[in-house]
Amino acid sequence: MNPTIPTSTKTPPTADQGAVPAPAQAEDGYEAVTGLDKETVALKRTYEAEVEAKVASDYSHIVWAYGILWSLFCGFAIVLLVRGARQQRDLQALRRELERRGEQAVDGP
Amino acid sequence: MSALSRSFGRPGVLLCTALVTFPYALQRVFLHTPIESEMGTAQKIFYFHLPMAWGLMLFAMISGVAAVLQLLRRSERAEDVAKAAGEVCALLGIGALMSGAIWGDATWGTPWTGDARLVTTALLELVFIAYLIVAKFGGPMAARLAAALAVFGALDVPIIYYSVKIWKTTHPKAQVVQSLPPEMWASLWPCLFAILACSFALFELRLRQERVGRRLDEAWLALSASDVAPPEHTAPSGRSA
Repeated sequence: MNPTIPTSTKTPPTADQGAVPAPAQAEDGYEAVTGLDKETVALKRTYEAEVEAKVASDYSHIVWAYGILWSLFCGFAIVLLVRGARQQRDLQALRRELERRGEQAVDGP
Repeated sequence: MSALSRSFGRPGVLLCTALVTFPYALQRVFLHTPIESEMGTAQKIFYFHLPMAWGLMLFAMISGVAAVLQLLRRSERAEDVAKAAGEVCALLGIGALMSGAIWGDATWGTPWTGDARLVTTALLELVFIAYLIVAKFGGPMAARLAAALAVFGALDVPIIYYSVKIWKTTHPKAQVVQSLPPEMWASLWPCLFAILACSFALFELRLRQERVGRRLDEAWLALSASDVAPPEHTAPSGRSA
């Protein structure tokens, strides 16, 4: 069935509840940077890779589908052109034949 | 518009309209339509798959009705319409089935299921391919048999439509289309217009060729009949005399 993109149930830890305890702000205004814990980062990367793979696969399918659709129309148009050219040749052959017979009729048997 | 029509003919105008509408439809589909939450980006195949499927059913009906007229009135004009519509129907059928298979592969994980909608659509396609083969290679007496096949194909159209209501199917129900949000409808309209304009242009070109071919054959036959020695000629359209 439909490949679904798992949604994150784990929210990144905030400074209050995070894995790295937030140090108290120094008196000179220095504040240490607190990042995400390694587990959350790994999980985010997994999700991102999965979404990337899904989008790439979807685009590949779209390109194939649209390509085939418009190739079909172009193919049919080419078939019609070839048929039209054949009819033109046949029409010219008919004209030549009529002219030949007209000349024969003028010249006599 | 009428000057354009005089210069290029109706098929030319329709093709030009489709050529203008298609890029507009594409930019609407990819830039202005939200990504469907369940199926993701692959759902964008829908915007051309659905018009192809609707076009398939429309041209099957046109071919079927023309074939009925051909059988009842022995009308050559109706036969030409049936053949031209049959060819466009077969073309749209291949498009609808292939785009559906690609979309199914992306969302269901398989390109084909034994789903009623899929099977009945494939049946319609096969019937019209059979119709075209019989009409082209069936010989002098095959025109009425071919017409019967086209009628049989047209009878499959309501079965296709109601298949999702009658049977349990993986294919989305008809109500899904009605419940589309306005922004998706705004993208569907140009796609539908582009596909139908292109289909009608090809249909009309094919119809003209069929009529020209018939007149050419008649002219050659009249010429042959008026002379003892017939000229070297092979019927160009493959039509049996």
